[in-house]
Amino acid sequence: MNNEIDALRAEFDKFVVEKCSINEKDRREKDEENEIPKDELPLFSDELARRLLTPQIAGANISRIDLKMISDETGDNVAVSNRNRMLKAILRHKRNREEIEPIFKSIDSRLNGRILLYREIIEAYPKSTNIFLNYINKIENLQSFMQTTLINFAEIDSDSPPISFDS
Amino acid sequence: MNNILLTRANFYSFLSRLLLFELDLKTLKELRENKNIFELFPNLQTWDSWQNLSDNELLNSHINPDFTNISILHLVPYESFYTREDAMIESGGANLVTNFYHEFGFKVEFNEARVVAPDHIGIELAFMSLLINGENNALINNDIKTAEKILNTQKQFMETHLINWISLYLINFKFEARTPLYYDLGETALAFIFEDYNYINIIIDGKN
Repeated sequence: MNNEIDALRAEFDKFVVEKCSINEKDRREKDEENEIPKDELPLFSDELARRLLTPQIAGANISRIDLKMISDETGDNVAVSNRNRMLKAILRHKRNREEIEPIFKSIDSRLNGRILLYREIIEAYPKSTNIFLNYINKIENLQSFMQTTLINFAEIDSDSPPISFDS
Repeated sequence: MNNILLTRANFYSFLSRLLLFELDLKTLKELRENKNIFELFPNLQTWDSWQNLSDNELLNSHINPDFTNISILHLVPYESFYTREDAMIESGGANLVTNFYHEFGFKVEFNEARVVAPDHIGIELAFMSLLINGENNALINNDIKTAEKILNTQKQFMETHLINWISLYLINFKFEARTPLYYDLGETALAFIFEDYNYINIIIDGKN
């Protein structure tokens, strides 16, 4: 009996150490564990994340709430967490244009909403024109990137034969 | 004291307070007793909870959870997040707002303000209030040159910092608020800041 309790205690202590470690190496390893594997994401994911989630590049602030709404609209229902992870959870396992298009459409819709707001502000406060035209320009660049990405997105079927470059 | 300057300084101070910290009972009472509150926060008029709940209940069940949600959990109220290409917060001395602050002896008490960087929206708005008070003091002392210099600093500060990012924050702030108080605050703050920028430009252009 005592051996069983000791074994249980040892198992519990091990569990606590693993889950609650403040050791930097352990934390990093855990973060890497929670990362979505790259082969489950479309190739453009990192670049899209960089452009969409950096306000200075996007011309808009896409928040967790925005991403949650995008995921709900596209039927993914991802959990609220850090924005990078949320975006990648939305893109996870999406392998063809038909699956990616609704996501891009939802993102586009939010960006267009921002453009409308910016134009209203410009009309109300003409001195702010340069600032908001700059934002609009950035959004349009982002939308152009997304459009090009979608057009160029090649579907790679898991059953496709290996690609030969020598023939 | 110049009434317009007084109003501007006080309003920046008011916005700074509401965007820096959650409401406390004292501030909530002041808002509720203010006869003009519905001019700034029109949606409060039709908000049942505002009309019917006690101060404590309103604060703890609605207002403070909303503030925490938008200002701490979901949105980032620091300029550098919106202006840096890596979307990081510049918490050190390299933060460029401090160039302006140093010139006017404005020191950020990080612990007291509960901020991690000097470019928090509440701090930048407090600095505008300081500048306007400084302009007014100069005018009271008949120091027109200094007053004009401070007015130009207000314009520079707005162009270099405040208006470069504040709309990216306040637009989300407004639409993600779950209470009419913070919804209207987002709208009012955005409108006031751009109206004020417009006003400053009119005054400076008039002098030139």
